[in-house]
Amino acid sequence: MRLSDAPILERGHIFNPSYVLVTAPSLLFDPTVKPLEGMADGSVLFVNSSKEVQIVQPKKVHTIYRDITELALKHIGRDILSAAMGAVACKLSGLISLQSLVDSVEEELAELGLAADLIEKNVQLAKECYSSVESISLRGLDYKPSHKVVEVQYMGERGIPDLLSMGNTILRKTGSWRVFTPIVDKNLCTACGICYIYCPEACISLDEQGYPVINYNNCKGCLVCTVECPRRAIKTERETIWS
Amino acid sequence: MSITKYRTLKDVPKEEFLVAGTPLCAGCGALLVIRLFHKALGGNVVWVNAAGCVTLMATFPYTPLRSSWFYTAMPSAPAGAQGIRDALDILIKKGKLDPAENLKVVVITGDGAASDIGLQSASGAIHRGLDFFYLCVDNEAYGNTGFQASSLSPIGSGTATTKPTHLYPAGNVLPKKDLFEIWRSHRPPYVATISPSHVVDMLRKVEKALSFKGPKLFLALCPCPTGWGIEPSESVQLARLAVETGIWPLKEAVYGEVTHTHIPSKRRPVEDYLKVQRRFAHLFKPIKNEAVIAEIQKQVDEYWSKVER
Ligand SMILES: Cc1ncc(C[n+]2csc(CCOP(=O)(O)OP(=O)(O)O)c2C)c(N)n1
Ligand code: SF4
Ligand code: SF4
Ligand code: SF4
Ligand SMILES: [Mg+2]
Repeated sequence: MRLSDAPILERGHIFNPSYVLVTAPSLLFDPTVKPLEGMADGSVLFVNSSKEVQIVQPKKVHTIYRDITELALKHIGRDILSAAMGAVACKLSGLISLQSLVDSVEEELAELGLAADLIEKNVQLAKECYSSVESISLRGLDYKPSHKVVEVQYMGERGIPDLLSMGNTILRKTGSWRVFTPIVDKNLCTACGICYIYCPEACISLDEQGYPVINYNNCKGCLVCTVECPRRAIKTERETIWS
Repeated sequence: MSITKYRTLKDVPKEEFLVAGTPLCAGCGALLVIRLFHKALGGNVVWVNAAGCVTLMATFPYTPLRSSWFYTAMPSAPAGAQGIRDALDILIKKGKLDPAENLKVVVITGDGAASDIGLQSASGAIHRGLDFFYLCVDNEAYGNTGFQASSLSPIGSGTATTKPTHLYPAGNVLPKKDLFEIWRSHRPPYVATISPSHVVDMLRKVEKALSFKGPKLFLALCPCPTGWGIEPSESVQLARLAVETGIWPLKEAVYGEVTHTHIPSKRRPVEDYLKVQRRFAHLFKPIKNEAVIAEIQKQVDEYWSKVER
């Protein structure tokens, strides 16, 4: 999104953002997303994370992290982050007042046909997110976006995936999508293998005795396995590895 | 039923041809169908795909597949399949390709591609007797572009283009095209409906189809948590409910001869299926639209009244 006092005539991709907001820390290292690409010295990076994120910073950027998923769960009961991320962006910019934020959350969610109580929960979420960060205004900064061809450079130390290796999406750590984690209770499990069959992601394999083993690097936390298990042997816990 | 190697869920092949890490939504029914379908097909496959959610599975430089992938324009996946089939046949005939390396050509498209823009191309390929598989992953709308109505969207469903309004309180007013019957009218060797909830049924059908040369077509109901407004964890349950309510009949047609492979002994009311999905929420709130729900029930009842037991 572009913000300016003057009319905005520029369109298309933003190659040199002043603010970058990242919904999940794993995206920082994903070579097809590369959210840090093009960040200039002095720009601002927000990461939704409960832990301080370790990044090899190419530039001197202000880095802030907060666990807004936790706030979304508290207010809405689900990991729906749009109002939360919007609130963080409004506050960081130092340009948008709390009232304008609340008005637009109400207006936009009403347009989507959400029930009044759900809109109110989103407003409360937005308010808490708004107050949870400080403004880092770039106003007055002599900020000139460059219009050069952007250098394509893979972030992180993992390099590019080998194109000829089939099944290389396994490198993409979709485990970071999880809000709740499935955990097999071996005392209840009868090794029937049903969870293995219904996992849409091929994230469950069976060990030699037929007990399920979950690949937490890639498990998206859809919890189909939890629902399909006839013994209710798959418990769920709030995700801690990635959040 | 002829001899099958799939008797229980224990017989589901263990080899995976579709690995984790795709960008498809958590709980995507289409992904589960493709994973299971692939197990029954085996690994020597080239998928021919028309634009849709499934396309995002294999976005450069990543692929979850241990098989091959070919991407075509939205209307022309079956035409692409013809080209690949012909090329493989010619190479084998000329001795340039070891027949052991032959591939099964499998078209995979969404319902939008299958029932709207790609219908003529599929009809042509079936008419020409092309030796291929067609798997339509039916999430009942144009999922990848934001869930607009396709001609496989059911009556009463709310989509981005059939939002319930005061003029159209039921949302979508057009009936779901009967793609099974459209395909069947060409009298291909094999047509079947499948559901990710009924896995043995699915694998047996693929097994049976493998014995035929010519067009083999599959229509799979694929719950879409994002578009249907259900929890990702509920997607297999929803597919099962569709079968148990009779909304999604499981059947096959061999050279046009129809058999139902699963007849629910006591059908659950369609309401059980409708009321748990956001795309049908307007039929229940703020006031219950009894007329539309009764109409949906009536259509299901009429369908099953014609099915011989
Ligand atoms: C000729 C053409 N028109 C429109 C599009 C844009 N488009 C890409 S995916 C898509 C939705 C496809 O819907 P469907 O076939 O049902 O597959 P789904 O995404 O639901 O799995 C559309 C309309 C396109 N790629 N090509
Ligand atoms: S479905 Fe349940 S009982 Fe069966 S193997 Fe999985 S966890 Fe164990
Ligand atoms: S939560 Fe979903 S992705 Fe993870 S193991 Fe269970 S079924 Fe598979
Ligand atoms: S929108 Fe629906 S069909 Fe598309 S990837 Fe998501 S769940 Fe699957
Ligand atoms: Mg579709």
